[in-house]
Amino acid sequence: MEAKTKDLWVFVETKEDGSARNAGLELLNPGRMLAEKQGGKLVAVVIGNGVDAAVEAAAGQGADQILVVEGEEYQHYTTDAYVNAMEHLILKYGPTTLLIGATNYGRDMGPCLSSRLKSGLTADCTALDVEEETGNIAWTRPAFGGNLMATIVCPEGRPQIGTVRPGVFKKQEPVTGHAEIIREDYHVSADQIRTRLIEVIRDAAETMVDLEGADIIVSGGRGVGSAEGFDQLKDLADVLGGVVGASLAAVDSGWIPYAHQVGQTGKTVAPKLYIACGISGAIQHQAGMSGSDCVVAINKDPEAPIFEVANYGITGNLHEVLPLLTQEVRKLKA
Amino acid sequence: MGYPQVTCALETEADGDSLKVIQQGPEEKQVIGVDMPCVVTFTQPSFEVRYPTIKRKMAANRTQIPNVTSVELSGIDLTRCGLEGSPTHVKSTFVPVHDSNVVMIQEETAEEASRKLIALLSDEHVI
Repeated sequence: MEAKTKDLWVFVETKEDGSARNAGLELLNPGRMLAEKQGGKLVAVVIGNGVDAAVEAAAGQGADQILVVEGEEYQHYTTDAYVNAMEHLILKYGPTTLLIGATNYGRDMGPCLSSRLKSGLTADCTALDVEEETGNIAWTRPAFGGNLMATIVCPEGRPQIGTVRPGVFKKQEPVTGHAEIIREDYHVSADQIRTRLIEVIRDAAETMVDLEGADIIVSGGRGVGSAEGFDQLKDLADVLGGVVGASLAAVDSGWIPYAHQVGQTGKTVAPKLYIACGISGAIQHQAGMSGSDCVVAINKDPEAPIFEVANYGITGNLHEVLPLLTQEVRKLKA
Repeated sequence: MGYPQVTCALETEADGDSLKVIQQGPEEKQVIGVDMPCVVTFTQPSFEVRYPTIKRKMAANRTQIPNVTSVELSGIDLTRCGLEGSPTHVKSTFVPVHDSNVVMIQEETAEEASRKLIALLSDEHVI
């Protein structure tokens, strides 16, 4: 399709309670810069059921305009309902660019949408800019497991679509919103939705971790050695008010559930402090945590690649160091 | 293709003409029902990949793998295939550089190292 405007859209994914996921909100931040360079408005698209909280949050992140589609059929995410609604909006308003958070649902929606619109999608981006000469978005993403970065353009297809890893960009401090809110009455009938949610399998332990929203993460890898070894990480995380993360090696060993995994096949995180304990720092792990403000690495191997991305390093036995750190933090907070 | 899709699947189970797909949702796993034909894409599975036995390896060597080309796939629009047909293209590539500026904390004892690290983090208001 042809773009009708120079507007840049950000899909603000909602939770079932109608609040916004950070993945979408944080994209409004780079979205502002890109929209200005492209000379169009910054538009948030909110789809869900009872999404006032998400609309308010999007306005607070500086959106110029918010398109809202509400209905019971949007309460739980389904590919058919969301892609149909999004396609309807895009054909009606014709944005030039669409940013989607690379969450499980964002990764589901993006390719289906770009295929229907015969446009191009760049998945899992970690940096965004505008090409000066053409006005196209320059999408940068890791290739070959993060060993190479590729900058990709989509010269013809519109809207140019990209999914961006959560945690790569940060939300700004909320401002007083002045967004124009447009409510779009669009419904998808039950027979158009071809997947059914049969059951939600809740696992109390897994739902407790919010790695992407955490300010402090104490993360463990192969060097932790056992499930019990993670207790020491939990102690330090608790006194710091943080959460426990893990590398693929620790999750694969069955020491900690997948929900804690940081890295290319896990979560992308960007906390203020990331303490990597017994993690060698494979490129796939770094892909998930290199956006952290401050990285502390504790490893018995002084040559471990994790030290290359760390701000502070301690070479030593983590089982000796961790309880001492916990003790020092307790003293500090006492 | 106009088929329904389920992504981030971990396991599937046939249920008559439909599939039950265990899907990794944003927070928890969920079971999704979908009629066939459909497209299901998988993520990291919950089970180990089966180790090939000698017998299976030998069977694999004897297996004929059909080679399908664009001639047989007459329904395909070749202008939308391959590098030529891609709406996106790679403009440039570069190797990511990490300028290492790690401060190694080397003290006589682990106690002293721990104390120094926590003091540094506290001074920088990280904790």
